[in-house]
Amino acid sequence: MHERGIQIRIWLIALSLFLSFCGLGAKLCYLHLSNHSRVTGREYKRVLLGLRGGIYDCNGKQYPMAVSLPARRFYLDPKSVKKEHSVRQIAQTVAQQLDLSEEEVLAQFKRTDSRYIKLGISLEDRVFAALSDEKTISGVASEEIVIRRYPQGRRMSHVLGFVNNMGVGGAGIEQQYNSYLTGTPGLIEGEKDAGRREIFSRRKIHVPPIAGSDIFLTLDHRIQYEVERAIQEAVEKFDALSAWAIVQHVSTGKILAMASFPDFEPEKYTETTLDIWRNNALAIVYEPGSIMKAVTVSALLNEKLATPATEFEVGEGVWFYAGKPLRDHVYGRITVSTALKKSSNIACAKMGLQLGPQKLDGYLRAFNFGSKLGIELPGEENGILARAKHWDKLKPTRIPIGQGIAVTGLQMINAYSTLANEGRMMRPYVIDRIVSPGGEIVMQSKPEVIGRPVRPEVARAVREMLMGVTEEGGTGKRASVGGFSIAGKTGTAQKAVPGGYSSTDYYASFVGFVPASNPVFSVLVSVERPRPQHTGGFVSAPVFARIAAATARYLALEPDLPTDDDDELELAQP
Amino acid sequence: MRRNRKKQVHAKVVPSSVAGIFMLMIGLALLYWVMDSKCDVDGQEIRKYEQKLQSIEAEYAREEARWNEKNTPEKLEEAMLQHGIAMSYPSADQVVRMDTSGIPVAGQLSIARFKRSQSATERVVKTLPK
Repeated sequence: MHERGIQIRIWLIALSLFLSFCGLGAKLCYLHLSNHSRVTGREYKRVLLGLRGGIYDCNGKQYPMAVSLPARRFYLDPKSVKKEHSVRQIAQTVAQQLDLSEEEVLAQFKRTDSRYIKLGISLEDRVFAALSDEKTISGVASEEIVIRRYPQGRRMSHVLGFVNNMGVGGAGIEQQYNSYLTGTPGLIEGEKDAGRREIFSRRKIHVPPIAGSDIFLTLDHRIQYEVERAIQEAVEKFDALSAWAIVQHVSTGKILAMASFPDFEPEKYTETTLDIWRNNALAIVYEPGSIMKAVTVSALLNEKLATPATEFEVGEGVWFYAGKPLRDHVYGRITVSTALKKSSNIACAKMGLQLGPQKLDGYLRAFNFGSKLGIELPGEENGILARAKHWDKLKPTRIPIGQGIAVTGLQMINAYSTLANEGRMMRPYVIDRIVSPGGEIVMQSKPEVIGRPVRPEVARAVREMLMGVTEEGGTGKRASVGGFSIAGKTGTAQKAVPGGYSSTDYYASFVGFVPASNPVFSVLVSVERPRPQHTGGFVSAPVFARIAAATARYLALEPDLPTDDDDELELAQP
Repeated sequence: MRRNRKKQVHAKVVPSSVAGIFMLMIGLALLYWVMDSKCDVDGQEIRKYEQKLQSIEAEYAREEARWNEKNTPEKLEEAMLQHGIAMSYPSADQVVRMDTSGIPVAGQLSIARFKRSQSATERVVKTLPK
């Protein structure tokens, strides 16, 4: 009996132990298998930022123009400052780490209207470490963000554009290709422990972030630098309102540089106004003036209505047509070649009459005036060119000399590149390729012929005539570059104002290509309202020469003209 | 002599099968606990390395950006000025042009040698294809 009692007691203990283990086991299963994290507040969710794609110049990743960097935005919650921590001490640390004024930071601590007061942004891990020290800092928290940096500052600002504080492109390539550049965020979902740290073994979802695609431009940052410097100095020297310049590769249509001044810093775009963001090279329409004459002459030659030696009577320097005078600085009978070299208004006006409105309109549209060229940048203007049927009697004499028509700088340089390229018009483009984060080429640009407005022999003939512009007696002598033949044209156009034209404000332009014997690149320079000098030959031609010289040397082009030292070289022949 | 007639009871307290099951359950529980702890420790390590990788990638991107900011044409020119370096492009007669196989264009080399003997400094520029 006694033994049986002992046995029963032992069995009861064993049973209770067994039941305890079963209970523990059941709880264990419940903890591990059920989705209770939401109920207990242990759910962990973290969004992983997808970096925006980079923008690089034509030299590849060696020269990034725009990059995205992970950073932290620090913010203040005054109500969560612990009593044992000194507010002054925290403010001092924050001010020191984020390069702020201590008084300003202290003032933020006194605010009661918000629990999310932005303090500043930092890229540095040491700043995060300093402001996360729980022993001395409270009330200061941070969130992961991505910031956009432009390592070359203002370089190519009008082409690149900027990104707003929502991470969306607001101008330029950043805007136009925002969908390619934008990264895809990732996600981690799981559980956290009591210390709010993720429990890795409880991770349910891990989707890695995907960075945006990278864009490689056709522009060269080195050529761009020379161009920007040259036009900035021209604006400052001639107290001009603005200037723009384009360098284009003739045989492909690639844009090697596109600059506009005044420019802006993309990281501080809010400090400038909308008119500064505008890319003047393709968004400003203006009457081109005499640089249009090369187009007129090429149309005349293509129609076989004249040759370079055909003569036109320009009289005593003034010619009346449709009751309106047209003045000139050239007199007598001059050839087509001389008309271009000396920029005769009357000769070119008569060429326009000879062509007739329909043909002239046709050639202008064949050179893409009056419509967009389709470059991959926002804000390109069509220009202004009325249909021939709407022209008055005077228009056929004025449009050939660049009045009564408004063009963009891009249209003008593209027309000259066409003449340099044997009459083949190429589509201008700034993007060479777009590459996905995995290395796959998403988009590859190729040179595209978009028109053939004139025959190759006509283009060559006009090219030869344009060489005379930079020779002795030509209007563009200041555009000459040592060692290289230049073909180009000056233009001085009065600025259109309501009711007519300004007598004080001009657009001074020079456009040409180098080397004239076998063109590689073309350059356009336009300066808005230079003073006191205002002619293309005085203001823009030297800027052209500077840009052309720097570009020719940078591209290692072989000089096609003998220099003064070549006489010595001949003597030195063994 | 009196024999020891005290009974010695040899009875089983718990049947061996039940004890065995108990031991198995305790063993499994202990094993589970050990493995779970190890998973947690490994998980923490993985998280730590993930964060370290993220931190290194971010620092690499920032360092690259810092280098790129120093590498602009303006900064290079400033540096050259600071160190008294004046660079310019060579004049046409100081250039020896070679074809793509690296052979000097005929005549150019002898001319350049002659000029060198006249104290001009020879520099070689490789012709880039268009």
